[in-house]
Amino acid sequence: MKFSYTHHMQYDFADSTGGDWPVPNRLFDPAKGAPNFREHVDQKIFAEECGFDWIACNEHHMSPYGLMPNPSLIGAIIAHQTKRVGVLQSGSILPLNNPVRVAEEYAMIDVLSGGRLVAGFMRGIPHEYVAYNVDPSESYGRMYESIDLIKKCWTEPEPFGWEGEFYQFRAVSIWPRPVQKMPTIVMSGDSDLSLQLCAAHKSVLGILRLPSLDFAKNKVADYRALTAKHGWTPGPEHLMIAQQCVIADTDKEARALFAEGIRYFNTVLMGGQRTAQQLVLQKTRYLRNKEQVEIRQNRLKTAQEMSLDERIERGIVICGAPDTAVRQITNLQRELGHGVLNITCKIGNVPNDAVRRSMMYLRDEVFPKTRHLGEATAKGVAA
Amino acid sequence: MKFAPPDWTTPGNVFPGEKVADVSWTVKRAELSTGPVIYHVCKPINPKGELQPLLHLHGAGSVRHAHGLEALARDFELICPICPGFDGTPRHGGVNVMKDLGKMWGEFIEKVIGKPVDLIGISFGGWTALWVALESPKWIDQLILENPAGFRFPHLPPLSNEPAIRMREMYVYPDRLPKNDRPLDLQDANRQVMDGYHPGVRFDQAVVDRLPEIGALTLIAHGTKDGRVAAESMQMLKAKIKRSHLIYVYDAGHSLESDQGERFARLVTDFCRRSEAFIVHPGYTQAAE
Repeated sequence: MKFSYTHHMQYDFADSTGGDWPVPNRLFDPAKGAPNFREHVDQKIFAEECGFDWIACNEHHMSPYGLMPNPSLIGAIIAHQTKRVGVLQSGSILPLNNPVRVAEEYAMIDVLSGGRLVAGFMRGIPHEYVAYNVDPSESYGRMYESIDLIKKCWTEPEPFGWEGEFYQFRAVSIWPRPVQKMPTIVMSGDSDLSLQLCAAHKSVLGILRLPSLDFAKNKVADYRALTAKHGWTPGPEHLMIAQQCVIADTDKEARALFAEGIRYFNTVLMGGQRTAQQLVLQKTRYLRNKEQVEIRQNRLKTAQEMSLDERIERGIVICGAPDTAVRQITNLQRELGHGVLNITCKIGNVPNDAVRRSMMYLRDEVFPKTRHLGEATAKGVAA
Repeated sequence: MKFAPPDWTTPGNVFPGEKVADVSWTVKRAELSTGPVIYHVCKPINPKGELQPLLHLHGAGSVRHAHGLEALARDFELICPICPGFDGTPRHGGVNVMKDLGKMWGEFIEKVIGKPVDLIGISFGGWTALWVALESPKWIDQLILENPAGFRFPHLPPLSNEPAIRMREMYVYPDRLPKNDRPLDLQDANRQVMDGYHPGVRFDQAVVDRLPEIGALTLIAHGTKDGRVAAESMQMLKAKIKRSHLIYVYDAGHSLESDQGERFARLVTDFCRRSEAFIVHPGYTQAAE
């Protein structure tokens, strides 16, 4: 199994963000925020030393939830400062960005890293569309077109132009072009249309929010059915499951850290986002139909209300002493058959020394006992 | 929170598949030294000023009044001749192969239009247009190749002639095709006439060898979902025609003018009007004029 390290680079020092989004940036204290930002980048680099296979960067805007509006900037640092790991951009929110620019930035990361780019194509969470004033109803259309255009940018041997619905370019020939002929692609399959898109592009399916194992199992089953329609069978390497993780000396200590991290995440980091998300979900066609909106809203509500005990009981987080973590990771892999586990150790405001301790426990005691997982199910995910 | 719910019944992407208002078609006849040519003309009912002519050479299906052609006729006098032998028209003596068509259409331009013209060709018509550019270069101003046939590399499998497969490979949106009143036997006869002009030729090496001769500014337009013509063939044309641009038309199959008529017309109109400056955002060039 591959292990991926995700860190949202959140802001650790806000007491409250009020009720609205975007969050006023007077709450960002550069004196605290700048060294904290640097520590977060260092943690990402440290992930290579801890045996992770990929290090992930993602795009979020205008709140303490994530201080990484352009993930390519951080991806470039990782590409330069590491030697072995895949640089997972998970990634640029395609409908918000110029696709040629994304193709260029990703190609730069691939060249800088010597061919280690893992290309995430994301549609983003609803409120991000407010940040760049893009019509959320166009999100799927822009997503579909962007991916085709980016692939053209990477593979076309001659200068070319593009006459599309959302994008028109008359002369494109990106320099540098990627080292890899076609990087591994990762997409979220949160909605039914996103899942279809994953299958069409032979993408790694990222299940980035895990409300329950049944949710993930159904998603995997749907994915297998869709890939069959496209004439291919996904292996374990085509399924990436995201998990929040705190490992400490004892289960009790890990739970205490995790619980405080969730509190900060729900009350501060998610703060005003919910209002903006509701506006986008209810007033636009960000999602395809009412049913999808209801599913999304219920999931947001459940995620907010679910206690840590319930999360552990459901098997959707990694929390405990190292042996507990090994057991949890093993159980999860047995249930879902995935070949990539995307781990977030920085949950809310979990202290940075505790984050590094989790990473070292993973390196020293967990990975050696779990890295082999996935090989037994090499015939296919959840086979 | 209380919000007015969105209207889920409104389609997200409406295609203007209906006929373009305010343009009309007429049918005319020209006499060439080799025989008669029937041609369709489409232009605005109430043109604003003098219209530049635009010559369009059809594909295997003969002249079709596709949405994209009518959209072009908002700004041009679109002249669409029927290739001799198609639709039951007489074959011309001495016009047997593609090279002969290249000369014959040059004479057509001289007699009907009387000055160099921008030339579009789709599929078989695109292939023909290349021969026109080679055999009658003085009559061609700019060249537009719409998914040109005739350059299928030998390593690719032969194209299927099974109607259902052909249909799927040609059109992303078959519902956008213009009405076709031709009986099936006439459609088959048209394909036989077309094949007769290039017997057994899948890859026209004679054209490829002469592509560097083409001096006309050339637009090569290719549908991203074209199942009949491979992108690598278009890339080869782009590489060998000195002054050329390759533009991919998103979400279109083999017939850009029916699958994405407005998109196709927008592209071609801009190319014809602004020539090589069409690569620059129009806001800039308009401001400079």
